Amino acid sequence: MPTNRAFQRPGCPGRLPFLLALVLAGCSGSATAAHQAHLDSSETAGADYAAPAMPGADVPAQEAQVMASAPSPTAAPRRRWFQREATSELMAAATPKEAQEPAPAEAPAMPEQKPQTATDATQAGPILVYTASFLLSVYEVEKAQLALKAATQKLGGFISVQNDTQITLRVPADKFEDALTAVETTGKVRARNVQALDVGDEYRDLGIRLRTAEAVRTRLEAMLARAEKIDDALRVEQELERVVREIELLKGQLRSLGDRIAFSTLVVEFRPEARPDIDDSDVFRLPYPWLDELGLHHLLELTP
Amino acid sequence: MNIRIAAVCLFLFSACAHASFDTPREFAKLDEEGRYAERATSAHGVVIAVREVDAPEDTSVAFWSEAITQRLKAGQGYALLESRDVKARSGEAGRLLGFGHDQNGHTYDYWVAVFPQKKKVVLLEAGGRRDHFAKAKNELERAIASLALN
Repeated sequence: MPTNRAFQRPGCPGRLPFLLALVLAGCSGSATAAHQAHLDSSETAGADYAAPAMPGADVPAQEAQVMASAPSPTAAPRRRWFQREATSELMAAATPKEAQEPAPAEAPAMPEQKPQTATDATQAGPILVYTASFLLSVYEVEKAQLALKAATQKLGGFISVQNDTQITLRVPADKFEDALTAVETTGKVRARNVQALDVGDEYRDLGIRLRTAEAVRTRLEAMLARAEKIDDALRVEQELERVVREIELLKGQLRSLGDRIAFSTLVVEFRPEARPDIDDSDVFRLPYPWLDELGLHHLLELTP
Repeated sequence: MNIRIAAVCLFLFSACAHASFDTPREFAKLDEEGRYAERATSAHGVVIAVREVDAPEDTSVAFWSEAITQRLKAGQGYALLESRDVKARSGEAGRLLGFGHDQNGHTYDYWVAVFPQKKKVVLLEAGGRRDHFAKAKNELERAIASLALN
C-alpha cells in the first residue's frame, strides 16, 4: 500500500500532509462510486469487510445481510416477501427487549455475525417504513386507550407515548395491518392517514458511509501507531477523533432507521363523543325481545 | 288410585299443551323446535304460525296492538292496512292486525293476531306474497277461528 510505505520512510515527512489528505478524502462525503471502488479494492479492505463484533456494529452487518437476500429486479412478485424478511431481520436489532419478550416465537433469532462484503450494499430493493395517524371519536377515551393498549401488546408491540387524548403505538411491521384493524374497531374513525415510505436508499447509503468511515478509522489507527513526530501524531489523532464521532453518529442513525423499519408507528388521537342521555331514535323499544322477532323475515324462513 | 294417576296425567298434559290451530287445507305442517309452537306452509310460501310469549300479567289487547303496530311500522317499514277483532275457538278475544310490506319488487301481506292471556300473549302470524296470500285468505281466516288456547 503506497500510503503506508511512504509513511514508513523517516526521510519523507513532507509527504505526510498529502497522504493524510488522501486518507481523509475517503472519510468525508456520502456513498459515491469512488467510495465503492475504494472499498472494493484489495488494498483498502484487503479481504471482505468483516463487521466488528462491538455491540453497536450489528446494524451494518444485518443491513448487509438484508441486501444479500434481496431479490433480483426481475423477481418483482417476491418483493413483498423480501420486505417481510428484511423487516424481520432488522427487527431483532431494533426491538426493545420489553417489546420482544411478549412474542418470542415471532421475533427472529439474532443473525449470526459473519463476514459481509461491502458490495452487498449495492443490491437494490425497497425497505418500507409504515406510519399511520388516526382521529377517533370514542365515548370513553380511557377505556378506548386501555383496549388499544391491550391489542397492541397482543400484537407484540408497545406504547411509546401516551397522554390524555393521544396514544402512539409501535407494532412489528408485519403486524401493521392487524394494528390498523384494531385501531379502526376501537372507535368511530374521523380521519385516517396511512403511509409507506421507502427508505432503502437512505439505509444503504448510511451503511456504506459507516463502512467507509470504519475503513478510514482503521487506516488512521495504523498511521497513528507508526507516527514518529508528535505533530504528526496529534494531527492524526485529531482526525481519528473526528472519524470516530462520525462513526458513532452513523451507527445511531442506522439504529434509529432500523427501529423505524422494524416497528411501524401509529398515532391515535381520541376525541371524546358525548353519549346521548336518552335513546332519541324514532323507535321506542319496549323491553320485550319477541317484538323484534315479528315480521315476515322469521315467519317465512323455512330452512332449518 | 286410577283416578289419581289420571289426574296427574291430565295435569301434565295441560302443562305441556300449547296454542294450536287446524292446519289449513293445502298447507303442510312443519316440524317446529324453535320459535314457533306450530307452523304450516302452503306450496307457494304462505306461512301461518302460532307461538306463546311471556308478558306481564293483565295486559290488554289495545296495549299489544299498539306495541306491535309501532314496532312494525317504525322499526321495519310495515304499513298497517287493517285492524279488527277476532275470536279464538275457545272464545278468547283478540285482535288481528293486517300489514303490508314491499320487498324486492313484491308486495307481501302479514297478519298478526294477538290474544293476551294471563302472563303470556298468544300470537298467530300469517304472511306471504300478496298474490298467493289473497288466494289462501279464507283458509287462514278458518285457521284463526280454529285457534285453541291452553
